[in-house]
Amino acid sequence: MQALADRLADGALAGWPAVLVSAVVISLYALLVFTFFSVTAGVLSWVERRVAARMQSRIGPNRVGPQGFLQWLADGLKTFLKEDLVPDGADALLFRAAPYFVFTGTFLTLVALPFSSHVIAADLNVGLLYVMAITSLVVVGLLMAGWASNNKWSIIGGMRSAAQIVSYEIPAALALLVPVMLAGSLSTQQIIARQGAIDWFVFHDPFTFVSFWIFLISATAEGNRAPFDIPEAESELVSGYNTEYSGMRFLFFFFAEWETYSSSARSPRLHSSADGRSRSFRREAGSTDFSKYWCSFPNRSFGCSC
Amino acid sequence: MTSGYEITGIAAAAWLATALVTMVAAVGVAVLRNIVHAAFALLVVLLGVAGLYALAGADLIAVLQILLYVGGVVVLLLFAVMLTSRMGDPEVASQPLAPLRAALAVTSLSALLAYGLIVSTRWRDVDAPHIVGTTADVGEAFLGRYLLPFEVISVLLLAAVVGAVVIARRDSRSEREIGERRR
Repeated sequence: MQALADRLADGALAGWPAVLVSAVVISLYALLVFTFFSVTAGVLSWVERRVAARMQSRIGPNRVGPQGFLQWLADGLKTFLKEDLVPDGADALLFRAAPYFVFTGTFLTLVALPFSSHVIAADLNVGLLYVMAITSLVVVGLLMAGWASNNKWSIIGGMRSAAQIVSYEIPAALALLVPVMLAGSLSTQQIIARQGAIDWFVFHDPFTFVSFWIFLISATAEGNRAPFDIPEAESELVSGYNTEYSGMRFLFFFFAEWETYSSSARSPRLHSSADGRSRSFRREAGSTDFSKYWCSFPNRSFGCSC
Repeated sequence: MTSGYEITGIAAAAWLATALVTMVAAVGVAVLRNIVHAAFALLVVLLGVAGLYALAGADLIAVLQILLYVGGVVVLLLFAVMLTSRMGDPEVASQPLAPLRAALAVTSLSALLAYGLIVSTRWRDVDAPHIVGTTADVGEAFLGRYLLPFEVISVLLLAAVVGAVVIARRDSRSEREIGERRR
C-alpha cells in the first residue's frame, strides 16, 4: 500500500503532502479489508452452520432467504439490538476490553497476508513471524475474557482455549518454517513468489507435504473447529470463555473465530500457493488483482488450499 | 518499505506516545494491587516496548518481543496466577514489602545503568528512520561472528528446559506422595 501511496504522491496527487496521501490510502485500504472480512465472517457463519448441520444430520438455518442464506444478516441485526450485559461481580474494564484483544489479534494478521502480488497492507520483511506473533493477542484476550467474567466455567473455558492455541502454535510454527527455509525469506510475498503456477512447495518433496498437513491440522485446532472443539464443550462448559457475553461483544469473539478460520486458511497458501493458480488465471484473463483474489476465495474459506 | 519522505514529525510523535503509554503501564505494573490487572499492565508495557523497537527500525526484535513476551511470558504469568488455588479471590493483592528501600535501590541502579548506556553509546544523527530488514543480518551474525556465544546460549537454554522438566516432575511426584499419605 505504501508503494501505491508513493505512486499517487508522485503522480496524480503531486501537490498533496505525501504523509496525508499515504495516511488516506492506508485508511481506505484498512476500511476495505475490515468491511470485506466482516461480511466474509458473516457468510462463513452461514456456510459453517449449514455444512456442519448436514454433516450431523440436522437441517440448520434454512428459513431466512434462499437456503437460509440471509440468516447471518438477521442474526447480526439481532445481536446489535441485544442488551450489552456486564455480569454483576465481573471485572468491568477487562470484561469490556477482552473482545477487542481477540478481534485485534486476528485482524492484525491481515496486515501481512497478501491478497495478490500488489494488494497487501505491508509486505513486512518479517511477515510470517509477525503473523505468528500478533495472534498471541488472541490468547491473552481469551484468558482476559475468561477471568473477567467472574464465572468458573468461563475461566476454565478460557484456559482450555488458550492452552489449546498455545500448544498447537508450536507445530504450526515448525511446519511454517519449512516454506520459510525453502524460500529463504520470511516475507509472505517472497514465499509466494518463489513458487510457480504448479510447482507449489507442498509438492516440493515428501517433507513439505507432511508439514503442510501438520499445519492444516494445527490451524484447525487453533480455530477451535471440530474435532478440536474441546474448549467449547457445550455440555460441560456452556461454551467456555464467552458464556457471560451478550450482544455485539459475544459476536466479536465469533468474528474473530471465523476470521482466524479464514486467515489460517490463507496461510497454507504460503505452502501450496493457490496464488500460483490464480496468477496463471490472471495471465489468461489479463484482469485485475481481484480476479486472483476471488479465484482463491473458495480455497481460503474452506481451509483447503490445494 | 523504505520511506523516502520526511516523517520525522510523525515518527517523533508516535515514539513519544508509545513511550508515554509504556511508562504509564510500567507504573501500573508496580502500583496496581490486583495481580491480574498488574499482569495485563505488563502486557501493555511489553507491547509498548515492541512498538518502540519497531519505530527504531528493529523489525525482527519487535516481532520476537511480541512472540516471546506477549505470547509466552505474559500467557505463562496469567496461567500461573489463574491456576493458583485462590485465583477467584480479589483479596489476594500484591503489596510492596519495603517500598522506600525498593524504590531507592531500583532508581539508583537504573540511573547507573542509564548513565553508563548514555556515556558508552556512540550517538550519531540519522535523517529519517529507514526501515530495512534486519533478519538476514541477524542470522548471519549469529551463525558467523557470534557463533560461539550463540551455541553456548543454546546449551544454556537446553539445560534450563531439562531442569524445568526435572523440577516439574519431582513436584508432581511429591504431590502424589502427599496425597497418598493423606489417604
